Amino acid sequence: MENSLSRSRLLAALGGALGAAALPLSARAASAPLMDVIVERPYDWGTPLAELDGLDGLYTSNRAFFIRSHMGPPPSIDRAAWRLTIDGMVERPLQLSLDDLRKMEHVDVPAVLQCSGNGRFFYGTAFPTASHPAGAQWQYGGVGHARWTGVRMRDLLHRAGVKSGARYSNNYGLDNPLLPTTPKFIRGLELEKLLDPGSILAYEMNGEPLPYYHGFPVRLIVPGWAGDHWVKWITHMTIADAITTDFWTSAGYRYPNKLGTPGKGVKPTDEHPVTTLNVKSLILSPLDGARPRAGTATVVRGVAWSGDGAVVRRVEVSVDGGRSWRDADLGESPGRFGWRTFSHRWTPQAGTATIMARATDDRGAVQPRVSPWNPGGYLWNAIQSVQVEAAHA
Amino acid sequence: MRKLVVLGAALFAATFAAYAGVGAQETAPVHAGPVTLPAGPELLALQNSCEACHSLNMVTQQRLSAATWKAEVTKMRGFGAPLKAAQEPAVVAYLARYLGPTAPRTAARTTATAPPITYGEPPRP
Repeated sequence: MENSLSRSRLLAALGGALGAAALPLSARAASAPLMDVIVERPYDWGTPLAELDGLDGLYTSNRAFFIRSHMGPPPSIDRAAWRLTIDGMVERPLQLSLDDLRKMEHVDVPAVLQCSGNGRFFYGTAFPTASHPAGAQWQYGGVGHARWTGVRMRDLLHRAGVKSGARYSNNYGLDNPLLPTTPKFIRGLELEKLLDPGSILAYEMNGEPLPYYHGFPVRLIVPGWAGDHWVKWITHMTIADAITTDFWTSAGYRYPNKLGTPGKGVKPTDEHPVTTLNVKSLILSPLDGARPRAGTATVVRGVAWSGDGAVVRRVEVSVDGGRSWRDADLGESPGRFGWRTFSHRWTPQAGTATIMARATDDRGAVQPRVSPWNPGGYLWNAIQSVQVEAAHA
Repeated sequence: MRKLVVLGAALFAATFAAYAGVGAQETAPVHAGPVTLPAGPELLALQNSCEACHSLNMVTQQRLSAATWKAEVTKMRGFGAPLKAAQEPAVVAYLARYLGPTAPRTAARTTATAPPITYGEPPRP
């Protein structure tokens, strides 16, 4: 980790002189992981469960990290010409280059990035006769964990001088539509969240420059909040007294104020923006359909996280389909916004077994059996079931 | 920015022209997991409209009621999908018939090699 950090700093210094062409060294990764193709174009590609902790057993590697954009990445980005504008209700509008950002104090923030629609597929399983929620049918892999490096938003907002009465930042990145009639991607959020010391403008991911598909050269990190706020290829933040009325905030990524009948739509005016993630765990091993050896000790292991700074304090594992639960061992918490690992030793008996994990956070939130149906299919965090069949060798 | 819009419009025009050419021919059914979408004017309309911006598998993986399909099609027409108003009812009925809530589906996904990491531009295919 030390090495990759210093290498990336070196690359950053070189990058200024040589341009982006000098950067793609890590393209020579030893082996190329396979991804789950959710949408073929533009890419919505999920990370397979077995790859989620592929970096140091705790983080998701940049190469295997899930890819999602609304309309697709920009055709190219000139690193030297890239600027971020912060304007609107500020005393001193800012226009910053990547080098300007790199000269500022930086912090590392380990944080889980999850698409708000991750797990949407399972609403269709839980409510089979109702209209399934519309959208890409993500299962498990619209999530990842990385160490993000960049500049605190509160330092930038302090530098710009937020005027009184300003409450929102409306953020735009180069996730541009193909047709001029399709709304651009603009997502607004509360300044209060950006003042959290964990909210940063990141230019590094896991100690490497931010890869192209993950928002090169800079993306917004809004830890504990759903991925739709983590604007990629960000170029413009407008500070305002009102949240944007653009489609992607006023109609997209909204959750009903009051849960209704499964399958029935809700008017956007009766919904609010999806913001914080919720408590969730994933079993990374064994995988569904595995055939462990009966009578031989094995380990059920996985990762668990929550939203908006809540930390997972307990994970229970069941190996009998939820009839009985045992506390799993928890790994260190890498911070308020990261996930932590869990493991539970288990000696399977011959036959089939249903393995489950149930996380609880330090605010008392517990994973449900089924998440409540909502029109966008957001925030699925129900307990996962893994079927295995143990046999004697 | 202006350049991007012009490029986008040009790309779209080229894509649309290509599909308009296909339109004169017979379509083949589309096999999407456990569902087969039969050939016909509705499928052709979907291919011509949806695939201008995204792959058809964005559509074929969903299982929506007629009301939800109608809302989606209306939203996409608002975004600029080149589907004529007169085509909308038939297309919505087709979607609801073959891709309704109880149509079969699978959790199986195709896999692909993760794209290489690049910085200034997306990886070349």
